[in-house]
Amino acid sequence: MSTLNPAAAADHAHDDHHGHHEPSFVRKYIFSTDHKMIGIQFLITTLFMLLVGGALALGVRWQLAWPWQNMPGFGQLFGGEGGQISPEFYTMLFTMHATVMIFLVIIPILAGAFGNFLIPLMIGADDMAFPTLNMLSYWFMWPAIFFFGLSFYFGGAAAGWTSYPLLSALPEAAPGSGHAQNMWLLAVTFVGVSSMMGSVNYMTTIINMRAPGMTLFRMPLTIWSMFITAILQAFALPVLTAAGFMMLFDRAELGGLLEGIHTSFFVPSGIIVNNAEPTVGGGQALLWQHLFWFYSHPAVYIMLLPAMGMVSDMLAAMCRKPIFGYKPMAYSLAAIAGLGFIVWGHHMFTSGMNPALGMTFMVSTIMIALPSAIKTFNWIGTIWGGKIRFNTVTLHCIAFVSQFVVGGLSGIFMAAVPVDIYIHDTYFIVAHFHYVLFGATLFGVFGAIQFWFPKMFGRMMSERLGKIHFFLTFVGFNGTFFPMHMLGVAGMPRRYADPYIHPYLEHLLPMNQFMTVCAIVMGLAQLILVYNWISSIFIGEKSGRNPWNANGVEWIAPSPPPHGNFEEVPTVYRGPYEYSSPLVEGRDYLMQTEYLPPPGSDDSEEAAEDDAGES
Amino acid sequence: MSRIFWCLFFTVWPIIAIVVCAISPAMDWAFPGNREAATPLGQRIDDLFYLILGIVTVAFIGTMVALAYVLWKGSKNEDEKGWFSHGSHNLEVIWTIVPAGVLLFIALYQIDVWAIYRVREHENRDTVNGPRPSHLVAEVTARQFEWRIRYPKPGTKFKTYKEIKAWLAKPHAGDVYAVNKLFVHLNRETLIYLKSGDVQHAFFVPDLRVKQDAMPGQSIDVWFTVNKSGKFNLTCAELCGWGHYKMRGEVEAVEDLEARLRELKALQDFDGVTPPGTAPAEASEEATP
Amino acid sequence: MTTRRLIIPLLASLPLVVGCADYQAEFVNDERVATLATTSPDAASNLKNSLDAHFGTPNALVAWGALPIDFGEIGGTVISANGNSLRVSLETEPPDGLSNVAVVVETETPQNRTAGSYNADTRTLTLLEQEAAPAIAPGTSLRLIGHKLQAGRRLYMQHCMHCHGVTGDGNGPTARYIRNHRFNPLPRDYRRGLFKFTSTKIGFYASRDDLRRTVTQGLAGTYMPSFLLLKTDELDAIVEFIRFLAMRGEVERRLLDHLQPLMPSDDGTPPSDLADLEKELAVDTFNQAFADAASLVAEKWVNAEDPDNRVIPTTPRPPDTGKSRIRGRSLFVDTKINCAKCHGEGGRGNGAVLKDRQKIPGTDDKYPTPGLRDDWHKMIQPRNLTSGIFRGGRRPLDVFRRVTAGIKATPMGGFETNLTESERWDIVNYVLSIPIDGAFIDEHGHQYHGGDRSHAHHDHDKPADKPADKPADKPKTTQPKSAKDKK
Repeated sequence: MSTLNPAAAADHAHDDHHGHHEPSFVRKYIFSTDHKMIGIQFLITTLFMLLVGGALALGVRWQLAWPWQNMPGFGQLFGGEGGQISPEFYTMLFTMHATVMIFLVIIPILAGAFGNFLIPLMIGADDMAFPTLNMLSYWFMWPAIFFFGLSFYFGGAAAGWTSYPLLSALPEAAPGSGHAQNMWLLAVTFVGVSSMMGSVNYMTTIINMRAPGMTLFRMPLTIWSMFITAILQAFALPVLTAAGFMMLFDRAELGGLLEGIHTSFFVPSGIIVNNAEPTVGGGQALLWQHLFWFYSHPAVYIMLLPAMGMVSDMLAAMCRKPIFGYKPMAYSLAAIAGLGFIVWGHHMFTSGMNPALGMTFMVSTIMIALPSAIKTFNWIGTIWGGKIRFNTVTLHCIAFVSQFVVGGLSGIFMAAVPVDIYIHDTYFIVAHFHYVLFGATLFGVFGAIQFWFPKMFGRMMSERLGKIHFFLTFVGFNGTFFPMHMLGVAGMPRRYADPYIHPYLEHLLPMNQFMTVCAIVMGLAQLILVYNWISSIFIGEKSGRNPWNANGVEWIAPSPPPHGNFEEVPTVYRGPYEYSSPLVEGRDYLMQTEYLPPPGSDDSEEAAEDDAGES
Repeated sequence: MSRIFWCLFFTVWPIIAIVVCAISPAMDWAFPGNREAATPLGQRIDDLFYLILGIVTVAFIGTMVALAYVLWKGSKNEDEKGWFSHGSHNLEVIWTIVPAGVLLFIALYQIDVWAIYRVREHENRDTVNGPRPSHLVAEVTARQFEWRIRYPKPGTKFKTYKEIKAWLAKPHAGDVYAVNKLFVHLNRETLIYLKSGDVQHAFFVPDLRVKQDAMPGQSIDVWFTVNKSGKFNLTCAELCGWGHYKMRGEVEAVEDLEARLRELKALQDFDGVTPPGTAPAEASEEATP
Repeated sequence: MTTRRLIIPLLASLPLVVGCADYQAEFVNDERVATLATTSPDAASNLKNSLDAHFGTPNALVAWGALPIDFGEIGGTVISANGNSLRVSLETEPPDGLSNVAVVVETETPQNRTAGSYNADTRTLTLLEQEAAPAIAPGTSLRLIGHKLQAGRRLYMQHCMHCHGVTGDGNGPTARYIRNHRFNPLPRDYRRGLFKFTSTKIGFYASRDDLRRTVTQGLAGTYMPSFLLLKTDELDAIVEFIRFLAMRGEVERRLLDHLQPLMPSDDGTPPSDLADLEKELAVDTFNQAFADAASLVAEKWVNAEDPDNRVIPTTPRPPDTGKSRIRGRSLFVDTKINCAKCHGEGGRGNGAVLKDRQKIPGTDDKYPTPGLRDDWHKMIQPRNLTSGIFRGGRRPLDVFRRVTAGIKATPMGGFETNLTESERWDIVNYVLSIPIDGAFIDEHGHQYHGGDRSHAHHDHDKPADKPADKPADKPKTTQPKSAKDKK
């Protein structure tokens, strides 16, 4: 793999700096084309959405613990008659919880916030390949948020985040399937557009803009994971967007805008829902499931891989050790992504698709556990023999690994078709994906926030608050989600507003109450994070360029990096994980950009030059 | 100090997790009623579940012990630097091949049950096997938010799947209708056809380990043999609207199903005069024009 | 540290959020009460207070003896008393907690008390504190009233309220969405005492059995699902609570009729002699009117239970023969009762009447749009008889009752007077055959598709549907299948 000619790149960078002048407030903080500002915008937006999604989840938990009881304080707000949550409100709550968390939190916080912030910094570029496209990718989030908001206004989509037809395709089928569903579909389309712009940009940037010397196998794993995620997004997203439009055409209301279309991709004929006219069609509801999961299964990895990459970087830095098995780590990322495209059918084992397909999908799904296992072993190997710093970042990374183990292992149950027959759509699956998406991804993200905060704002986040937040979140998280495995095995289906009308689930009420208490603790703990984050921007300890003594290219830039990131174009001499290298004395890190003369040579001049460029 | 606390923290939580799992059968947090499945195939599914559970437990304990070990080691590391190692090719090979073998074993070991459960018989339809005479056939139509059930006229014996398809296509004289309560054979195979009257539902009987979605516009066959008498909860497992949780039904396995159906039929033919169960009027009025 | 300073107020504000006053469920009053309050606030509040006094609020129901409701009564005697805590021996063990249940203590002057709690193990009944209550001696007998109604209310809030509303006005949170669709029947508004599918004759209310049947079987083809698996006592409790809500609503409605003269006219002006009317209607005669309304309503509900007021055929259903079907078909299209006018020639529920605008009941005006409406002004469709869905039940008896007494509160009238019983049975036979054989039948009683009569060669006197447990006269059971069933 060739890289840019260092000399040429340096000239180019120099040219760029020529025309610089201080941008206006709007250009700098709002419609900024600076990847760092866009990343921070994404981060703020998604953290806010995290709180929104969490509040929705607490509504769900309340109903499960104290069904049909007035919610203290919010009873009137959450409107059924008599202060109860109404069942359709409950379906809206979990639908919008999942929607907000997936489309407005996890995907954009990984690719949007950290992808944007880290990619140019870590590969030593001055910005993204297409800065304006990058800005648009952020601002296309806002129509999505606007349409999700409209969806709330119309009562909230309530067909589950998977939006299976016919529930979602026929406006008569559910209270949330009217305009709220249209708005939901439009919003998802905009999220897709935003992600697509991002992923085009990331791919181009990573391929074309690497600093001199930054070969592919010198890239930090974060960049590898972002690169692979971008590819996944670029290939999977069009399918979802197409499916979304097909659904919109099927629904064909949109205020008469699409009146003439009224297709029936998903609607079979002769279905009478809610005493409306029988449907005329000939479509197939199963088609949506195929299309949806063709995107949404890879999307699961879009929601996980970047966190894996970032955790690899953080673990190596915090254990002062090279990552264990760099190439296997990179290859397994690619393997997960590749296999991720051929496993979507495992969401549909009970759906009535050709049962013979079940076997194929089972084998591919179970095999996807293999690269995940390799990664886990390598993380443990990375910690092995390290000199561990027990700070908040490390704790979050270890939590990531251990929770990912639980999520991964419970996935094997889901992948095995006969067992999945029983636990499909029970709380077991809810436990599984929360362990992966919250237990793994969000802990990784919390760690990453703490880790790269100094680079974003030039100050450190409070360690003490970070640890309190970590402790409460970890305990609350496990208290909430671990019992869900048991609920699932006990046969409690998900998405039930009141499971206890079924006699065999009655005895699970106390357990659900315990889980809700834990969930409330966990929810409140996030306020600590918010406070820590905001207050540290202003009163955190000043950090300097490289507070963690890490090796990555981003740490030679000033904190926060100015427009253009680096004073000079960095030259990369080695991989990012040369911690505890015996080549240097007196310190346990060796930065990627640091030139060491080959042993025995006396090329001290160049080495001195490079040292000056560092800090 | 804080290092020891966190090492303990990451050592203790997996222990708690395992303890919780271990006590859950005693706390009735396992399969419904702590019973084994009421179908032979369900029992095999349970066995597979426990097999995976065993493998997974070993893997979980292994990784957690390893993690705890490296954490304790790392927290006590007084060296100036960490261990400068980029990994070990041999280890990578080992921990690729061993899990791969285990995973492949799991995958292949499952296939047989799935084949019996859904595939083989399905493939043979209308070619080799006709329906067995002992089959009960019933049509279960899920709708918002109840299960509507239709049995063929008591005593009907279907000879071919074609006949069954014809019966499914439209209502027939003498059909027996019921709601929310499905009677099935005990110790004999039951064949039901799942339909949906409106949106997607799923027929889920936890005790039987049976789950199948009811797709709108499709009629999906499900078969199982119940080998324990009793009543089993029937629930909906696919979001079907605001009243999803309301779809409470029951499956009851009975010895003499046909007698039960005749009772239902007699109730259904009740005309307010002739007590149900006795001979309905038939010949008496034939004379009047 | 700065951080600590902020966490403490945060935690401290938590109980504030949690402790916010609970929203208490209330019975919603009829809209006309608000109208009444614009002219005569006193009369309106008088009405509300009286209703509350006699029926209570959702969380504190009143068991009013004047209503024919089984509130759930348990007799017992006091074994020993210690202040408000009594050891009692009850005739039957209560099914669940007895908190808030009324206790009538038969001391010299009977006391009305309220139970606080009951401990089944120690058989201790704790009464709520009441001022100046005389001590209760051992041996005093007592009656606990209302546990069933309370259980009914609890179950109602769990299973029924979402559609039917706290008050039973058919306006629960989910009803908003059901209403959006043109022909979807609304959740029943109990407050008029009208229930569509009953076993009673024209003009009578629904019996307990009818309500029970609707709850257990559901109304096929509507949003009323089946609650078949409720336990018997749960079912009874729900039915009693529904009757309670119906009676409350109707008493309220009748009182509003009584107070009608106080209402403002259409342009909002109060009646000229408001003060006099107010005194007369809302003060002098109000209590009497209340008692009258209650007794009238009570009588109706009592009458509904009377077996004499049920529709019960005297002759059994005649065999379902071709001839009977033909007679049914000819009555179906006959001008005398003219089923086809609404249900259509083909039984598809598309009769000619749907093109007409209907009169608004109680006025001379017509609805602005054509179509049939029920008494709640909701558009309804005549049943599509080919669909095989029978909302009121598919037993011959059910259909017979529909034909005899009609469907209450809808344009489907009863034909008890117009038709003989055997004619009605013929219609039943015909209607039950439509989903299977179609509405158009030839002279042999067989399905008729225009020119295709190839299959109409059966002996037309042979019963079309032989019940299986009755061996047929001919040895036909050995044959694979009658050609008829294959059609």
